[in-house]
Amino acid sequence: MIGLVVALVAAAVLGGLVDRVLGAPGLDPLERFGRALMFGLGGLGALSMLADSAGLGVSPFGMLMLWAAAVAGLWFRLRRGGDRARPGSPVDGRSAASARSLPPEGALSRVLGFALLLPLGAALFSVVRAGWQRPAFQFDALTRWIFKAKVLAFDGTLMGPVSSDPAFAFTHQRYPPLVSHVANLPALVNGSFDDRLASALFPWFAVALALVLYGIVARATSRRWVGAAAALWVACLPPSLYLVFPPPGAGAASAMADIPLSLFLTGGGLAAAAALVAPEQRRLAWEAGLLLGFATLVKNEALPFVAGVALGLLALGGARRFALTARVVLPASVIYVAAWGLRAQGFPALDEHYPAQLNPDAVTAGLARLGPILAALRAEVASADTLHRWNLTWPAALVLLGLAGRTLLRRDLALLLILIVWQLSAYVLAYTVTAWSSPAAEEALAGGDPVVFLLNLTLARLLLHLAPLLVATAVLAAPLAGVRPRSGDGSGPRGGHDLVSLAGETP
Amino acid sequence: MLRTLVARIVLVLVFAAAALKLVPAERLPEALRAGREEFVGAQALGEAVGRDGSAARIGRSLLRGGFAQARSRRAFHWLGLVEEAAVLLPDGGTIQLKGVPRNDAWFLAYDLYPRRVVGLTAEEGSTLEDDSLPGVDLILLGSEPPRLERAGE
Repeated sequence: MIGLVVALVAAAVLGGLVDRVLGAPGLDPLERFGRALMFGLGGLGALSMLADSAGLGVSPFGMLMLWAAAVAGLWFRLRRGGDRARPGSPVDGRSAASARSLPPEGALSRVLGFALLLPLGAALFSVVRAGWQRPAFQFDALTRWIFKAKVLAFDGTLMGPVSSDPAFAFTHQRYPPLVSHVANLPALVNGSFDDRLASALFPWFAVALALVLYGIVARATSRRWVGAAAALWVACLPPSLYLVFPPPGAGAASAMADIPLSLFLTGGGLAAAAALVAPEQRRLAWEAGLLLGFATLVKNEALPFVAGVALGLLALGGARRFALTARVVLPASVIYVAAWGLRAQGFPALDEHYPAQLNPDAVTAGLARLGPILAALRAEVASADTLHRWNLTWPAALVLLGLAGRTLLRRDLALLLILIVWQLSAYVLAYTVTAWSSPAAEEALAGGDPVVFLLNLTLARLLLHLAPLLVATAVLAAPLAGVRPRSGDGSGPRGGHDLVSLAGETP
Repeated sequence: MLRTLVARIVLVLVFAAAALKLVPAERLPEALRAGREEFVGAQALGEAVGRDGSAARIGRSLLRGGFAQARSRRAFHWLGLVEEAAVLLPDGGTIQLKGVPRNDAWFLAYDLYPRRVVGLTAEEGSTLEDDSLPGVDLILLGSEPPRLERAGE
């Protein structure tokens, strides 16, 4: 228990300082906490990975020194740049009036906002409690993420046999292990490994996701209740969090890496969209780069997402497109290469190694799989089952996007939609070329295509990566709050809600 | 105004779908009922499982039963053997698996770490009659019930 608490406090302190250095003034305390967790958990995991990749290993003393150095550096940066970062300074163009938690709203709206925050709190409490009660149980969680956390706790490194010996191929040696490094934090404090404490950290990624989403949407729509509704929507998604009944799978309490990936993709995608409409606020681009860098250390699925961000910014970024793209993509790339990419190249690749399978022959041969892939996708998002499995998320999001109309042509929303479609396409492409198989699949399918079995196992998990971003996009685009703020840069279609307020100021 | 109204109704429907899970179990669809039963089971385990790693592992094996009852019973057996192997072998010892299914072998590799698990899986052709590998301290046989024996016995 002590190890868990110390790890969370260390993450919140580090992340809180990162948040302050990035400079968004006057955010709601709930969003501040969510952002502190988001930057802190990602930052601690990245620091631990960096130390391990540099050959220093991961020890309690080493991590304490790294944490202290990072905190001291951020604190110094904050003190030194205090005058420049203060709201109201002419340097960054913020007005004192903009430095507030949320714009004023009516009494009814305020009451509704607080009323929706109550079930949101209950949902988040239930998932944190479940993570604390239940030891890791999901198959992939045990054989990959928690396995590597246990190796870190015993060996102090993942650069040994677990990453190079083919006997450990089942741990997926080229999978980036940020969540394993985070799960190892309680063991560093306690001096012994306990898989309940290791897995108890995972729900906090979900807490960060819900609170960050709440803050962004509440500020962008000028309505606390809309922010709380968006966060509650995501917090009630059965495949991710749950309010009452958890399904097995990739949920927030399952010690899987899918919710952490959702967090960093959502945070990074929204920051990139905000940077697109406010390119003069460089810290938005840095924030996007940092979060996307963390995402690449969580799962390889983040790599096509970063490519999508780059293409989207180049396509929509206007005159400053190259500088903006560089500010987002370069930090993400440096983080990935330094903390994992360079070392991972030396580890054995699986037969699921997708880049090697992306050749014309494999793609052509995989076209025959499009039928079952699209059928599975339709069954997941547009069948009666979606009511139970996704709480109507997909049809509801489509209706909200339809109500938005031309607002969707606004550049920030267009970027978000491009990212969602791009990432979904990348997943479809991966299914078409995958060489994955397993004894269970061969037994169940009796000679059929293993991809059908794989779809059943993984499709909901992959959609989970995108669901929070889709919910955010739909809620931001729809006329839910009945207000029509101006577009972020004053050009293009008007309407919807403005992502520039992601930065914490009125545009 | 109309679009705002429709958008709000859509949002209400999303929460209504989420709230559907609050109705009594006998009126729930099968998938939801399974989820509720698993949650009740997990709650009971939470109360039963202590804070030590051993109890947590037993709890985990039971939770695995939510996916496959056969594996649950098997895992329970394994876990008894895991405890025994942990007593018999110092950290760093080696255990050979014979005739153990792949998924169980991977779980065992996790449960037994830092002891090293070696040998092919049943899917790769391993049987109870496999030759023992050099340098192995213990052998775990995937028989019914599974059992543990010292190498050379």
